Amino acid sequence: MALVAAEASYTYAAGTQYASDALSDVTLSLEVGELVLVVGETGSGKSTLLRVLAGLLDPSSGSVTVDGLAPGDGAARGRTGLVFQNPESQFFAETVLDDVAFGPRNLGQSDPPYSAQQALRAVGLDPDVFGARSPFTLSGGEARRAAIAGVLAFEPRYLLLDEPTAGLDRPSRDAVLSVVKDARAQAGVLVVTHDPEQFLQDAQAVVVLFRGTQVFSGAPSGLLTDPGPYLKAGMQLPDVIRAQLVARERGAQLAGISFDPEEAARKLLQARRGAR
Amino acid sequence: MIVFRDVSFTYPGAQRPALRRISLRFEAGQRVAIVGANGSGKSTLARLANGLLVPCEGSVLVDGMDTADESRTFDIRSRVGLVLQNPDNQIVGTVVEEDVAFGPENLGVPRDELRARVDAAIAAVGLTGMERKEPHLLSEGQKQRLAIAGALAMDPAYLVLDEPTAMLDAAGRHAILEVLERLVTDGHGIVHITHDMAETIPADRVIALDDGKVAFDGPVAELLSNTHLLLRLGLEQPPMVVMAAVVRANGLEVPLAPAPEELVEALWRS
Repeated sequence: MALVAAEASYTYAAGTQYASDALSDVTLSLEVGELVLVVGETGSGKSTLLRVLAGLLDPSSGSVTVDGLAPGDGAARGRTGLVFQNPESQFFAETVLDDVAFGPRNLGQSDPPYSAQQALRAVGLDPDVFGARSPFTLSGGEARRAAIAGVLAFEPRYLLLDEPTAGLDRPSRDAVLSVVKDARAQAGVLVVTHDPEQFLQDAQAVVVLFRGTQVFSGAPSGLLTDPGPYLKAGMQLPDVIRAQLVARERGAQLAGISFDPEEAARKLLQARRGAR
Repeated sequence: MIVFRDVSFTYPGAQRPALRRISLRFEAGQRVAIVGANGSGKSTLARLANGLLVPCEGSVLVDGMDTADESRTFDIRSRVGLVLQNPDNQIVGTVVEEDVAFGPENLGVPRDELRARVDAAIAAVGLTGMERKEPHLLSEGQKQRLAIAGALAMDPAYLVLDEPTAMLDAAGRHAILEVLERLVTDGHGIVHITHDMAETIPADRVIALDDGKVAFDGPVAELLSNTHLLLRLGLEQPPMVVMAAVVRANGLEVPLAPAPEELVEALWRS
């Protein structure tokens, strides 16, 4: 059971003189409980991949399957939930609760208001406090979480998030990060981001896209052993990681790479002592 | 100089003021970072600085001109350039050079000078060679640099930037910070609002806002090493500052916010 892309490619305006290959032969799989990161710079094909995975675009070649089904299959409906970038720009209902209940209602699920309340709780917004408010009065961070709740409400097995923390300040970003972590209890979560630093530590797999092709795919630790493809794709390694790589180049014996700055500093001090 | 004198501002219909009795000065040639949680008043302050908003109480003076004096609005807006978070909302031209020319053309700048200003502004943000490109073909980072060029073409003494890197990727952020560095060297006064504490490191001075008031105004090093205040304000100590603090606690000398290479060098040298 997984959301799987197998050598999926997509060409915009295929067959015309404007044809452009946005995605070439991307293979990945997302299982319930996993966090998979898709990273790359602007124009690398991240958003196209997301649309292909969500079934909004049919791959030009290769395939996408949801638990073995085609995304367009009626039985696959509601299994994949996509949260677009800046989703709060798409609120339309008069109250937060109504907006969040739209998904389950649209899918004909049994008790949309109840699902909406559960989803609001899951993103840390008390339905008694926020449910009756207009979505347009929410702060940036609250609005982002309410928009994610709108997708969680129909309980997708695979949750796809496009730049979920972009443009948020730290407290709001932390709140969204914990929503992403918690969501893995029920779903596989795929995050598309050009700012992977904050997610790297929790991810099981990272896919790096460069001009539509997959230049790396594997566990985050693999990136740290050989950051070449990551750097080529325009990504910058977090400073904390870079410090450890630089130290290793100077001969430091490090037992694994740490994301946490305090722990990383202690490891460097230890390695330095070991070197004398 | 931009002077805020006892400035308070409340948005129409809002229960609470966005800014309360703020007094500040921004000097030409100085790089100031402004930080604070969402809703602390940062964006309001940016909009007051160029007269987009006018104080409810107190006054804002730009090189002696009161922003409440409508006859000076034109002069004030050309002295203080404003760049906002989302580059897509700030582009009006159909090609890059046309977009940059929009402001000065509106001011009636003569044709020869207009050309020179546009070329200089485009060069200052590193977009030379893209003059005839359509803005929608640029990356988000390039679009944001285009927005900065548009402000620069007005020949401002001050540039106020409201979270200009928030929506950009690492490469885009990096390019913007380089542009800011160059602008300070050229003598512009920079007011840089950011939620990324690491971006405050090169500033001459940092102001932290909390609930519409100034909670800190001083050297960056002082704020970054005050973990209690940072925690109270909901601000984050940049990772390299944390690493350096651990190393320093072990008796080694390292700068407040070293580059990774610098930190390793310090460790292995001593």
